[in-house]
Amino acid sequence: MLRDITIGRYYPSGSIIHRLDPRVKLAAAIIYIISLFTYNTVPVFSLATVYLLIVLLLSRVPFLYIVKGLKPVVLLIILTGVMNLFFTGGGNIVFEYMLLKITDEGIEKAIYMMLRLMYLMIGSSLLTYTTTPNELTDGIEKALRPLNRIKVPVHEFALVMSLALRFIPILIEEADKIIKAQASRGGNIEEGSLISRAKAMVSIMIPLFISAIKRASDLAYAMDARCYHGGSGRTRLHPLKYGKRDIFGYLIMLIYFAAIITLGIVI
Amino acid sequence: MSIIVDHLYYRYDAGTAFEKEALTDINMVINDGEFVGIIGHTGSGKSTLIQHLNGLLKPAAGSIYYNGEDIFDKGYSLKELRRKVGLVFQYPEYQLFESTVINDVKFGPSNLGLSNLEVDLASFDAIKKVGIPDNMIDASPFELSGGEKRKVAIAGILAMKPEVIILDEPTAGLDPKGREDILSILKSLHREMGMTIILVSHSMDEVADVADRLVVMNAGKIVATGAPAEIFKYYDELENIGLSVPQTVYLMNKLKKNGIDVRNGIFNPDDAIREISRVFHI
Amino acid sequence: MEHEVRNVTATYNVWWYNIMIKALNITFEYIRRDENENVIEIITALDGVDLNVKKGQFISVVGHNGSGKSTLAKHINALLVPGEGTVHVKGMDTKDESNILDIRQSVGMIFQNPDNQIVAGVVEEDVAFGPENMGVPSKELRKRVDESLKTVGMYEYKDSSPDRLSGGQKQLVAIAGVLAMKPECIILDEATAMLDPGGRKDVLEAVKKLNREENITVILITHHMEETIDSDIIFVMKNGRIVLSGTPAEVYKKSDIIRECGLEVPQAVHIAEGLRKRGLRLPEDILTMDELSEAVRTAYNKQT
Repeated sequence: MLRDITIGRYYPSGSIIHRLDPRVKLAAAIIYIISLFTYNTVPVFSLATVYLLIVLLLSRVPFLYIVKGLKPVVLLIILTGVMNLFFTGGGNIVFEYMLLKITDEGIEKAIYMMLRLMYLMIGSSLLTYTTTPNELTDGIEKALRPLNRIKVPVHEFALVMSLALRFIPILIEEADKIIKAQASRGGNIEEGSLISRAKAMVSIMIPLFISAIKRASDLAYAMDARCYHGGSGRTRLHPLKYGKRDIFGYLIMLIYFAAIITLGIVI
Repeated sequence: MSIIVDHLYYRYDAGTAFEKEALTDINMVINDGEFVGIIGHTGSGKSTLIQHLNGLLKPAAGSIYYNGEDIFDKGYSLKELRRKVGLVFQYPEYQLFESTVINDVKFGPSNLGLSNLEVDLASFDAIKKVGIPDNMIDASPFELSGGEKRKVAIAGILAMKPEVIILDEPTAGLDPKGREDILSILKSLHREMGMTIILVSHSMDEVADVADRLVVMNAGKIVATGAPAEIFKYYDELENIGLSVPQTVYLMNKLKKNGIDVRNGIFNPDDAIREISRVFHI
Repeated sequence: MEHEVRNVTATYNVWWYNIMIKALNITFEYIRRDENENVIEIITALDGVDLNVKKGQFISVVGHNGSGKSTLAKHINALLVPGEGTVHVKGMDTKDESNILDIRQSVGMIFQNPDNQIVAGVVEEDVAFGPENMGVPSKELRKRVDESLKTVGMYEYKDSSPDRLSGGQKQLVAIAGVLAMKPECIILDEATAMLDPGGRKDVLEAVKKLNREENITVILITHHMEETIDSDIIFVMKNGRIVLSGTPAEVYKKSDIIRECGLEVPQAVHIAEGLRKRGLRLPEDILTMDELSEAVRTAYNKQT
């Protein structure tokens, strides 16, 4: 059951999008998300849709994967739609039943809100499908490096993130095993009285916690033993360097954003 | 009283791109009071198989009968099954969580809805069976040595008074003394209590020493089953699937090839000493 | 062993060039305290241990769980420093902070749990972690990573996620990660304990090859006696002390002491000993089943 979690799962297809510098992809994701929140007009959303589709095709990540990634947030998207549908004031009433009123403005807003959330999810999952966790943290580390000057521990932050990503699957597997082991001792978090369920929960959380601490301490020794002494003086196997295609990427991003603004203002 | 596994199939990650058949057409019978060793290298499917035996995993196809009843039937109580068929996971000490040894051992029986007295009796009895001394009963389980922690974890299963106990690599990571301790606990549970024991291992030396019968697994299938001496005749075949016969078997085979007339079916070092002495008339 | 240690002590300034590790009378205690910082318990993990390892040697340290062998291992690359006594690695005192990075570069360590020592999500990036910390330039890094992975036979997995590897393969990656730092000595801190027989064999063969071909000093910490057969010297530990040391043949001969330490002699040694007790004349230095079967055959041919 816990195996089904697919947060940040990488899909290796070696596409042009995969080969882009992670900083370009990070910037692209941020700009895209901003663009979704600028104007609620048909031309703007049409352009955002086309742009997303092109990137999706270029990335060669199967459409099915993208749809699967939306599964956990379907409820949230629907809920947002419903909220907007019923609680938007103003506009002409299209449908009325007792206290519920649906207006044309409500419908419009609901549709935009749902599209926005969906595109936001697809856009950010495209980032993780096409970028390995290590590239991503490298990208963040390098992009945020100027913050080092005001004493923000950028390297440490990036390292902690990549270690967390590395150990999440290990701990998920471990949790799965502990749940089974306690189930073999009659501990069940799904049925029984509240007290016995709480006890069963404790019987899972404590061993998991202890194991996480043990792993952290082992890892600290292992990193020390391999000469880890902070970020200073560290070199990289794959140093991040911008290439031609990355500059091209930034250029497309700029053009896209300019087009969104123009469309929003003019039409 | 027995476990019957009938045409059992299991798939990992069913319905995804990573789908993989983990068990293929498993058939076996485990009789009441038997000591069975299941052996295979990592990934051979042995751990997956035993998780079916107490209903933790549901097969893609096939069934398992415990005492004649299909355990995957709708009305069958898995809770009851898990009491009768105790499963000790690999590195079971990682599931300890209580503040004292005795409280941890009580966790299993107290989940069964027994009276306090019954829980106490069963727990103290289990602790005695695994040889944890009285002065450790109120200690924190986290202060014990690795071998002792493991004994406490086994006691936690024994306290539920199971009819069958399944152990997944119970000696992994222990030193020789710790290994010896665990194996002798199993031997006495089998001999004195008449318990059915299923021991999963990748060490031939270990299972040969204690089990009446071996089940050899490879790539999700059962490839051989029989008494240890029978199984060890298939020396080369075992080697091919990444399992080595006990070293004593290797020695005896080598002596035989060199024209020394030792008897077949010897896999224990002390028996080997006796047999070689016999050949030399000493 | 005893007199050898003393000799070296007397002249150690001269002899450093040949000495990899020298631990003198090291003592280490774990102190447990309650919430009010009062001492509840003092556990003496090491109690006056001397250890002398020459460059290029294959050393085994065996002992029961909790005998102090892992604590000893952690002293050798300055993850722990002794409470009393000194540890020198290539003449560098582990207590001197300024030596630490040099010591850790010279002495690589492989730990017990394969999962808990892999830092990166891709094999080659993990192998690069050590030399990256040392500041090795990217071009040289690439070369070192590829060479190390090839040496342990894991090059084809360089782009894989470690999660897809077996325990034995993960340990080989960890060895590659140490090799990429160009060490002179590798310590395996119970690195085979969690592996199945196949994985254990692969890891042992890899370090034996490094010892033979690259002259890398190996310190193998284990409780599997069968793994120690090819060592130059075995140290047997019990309750924080070294109680026995010498060549494999010398050590296994004292099977009663080994059993007292909660360990077992290799099966071939056990059978040979049993046969000798019954009056069969066999050579004293039998360690493996092959040697034993050879010896029995010779005795048999003599008899008939």
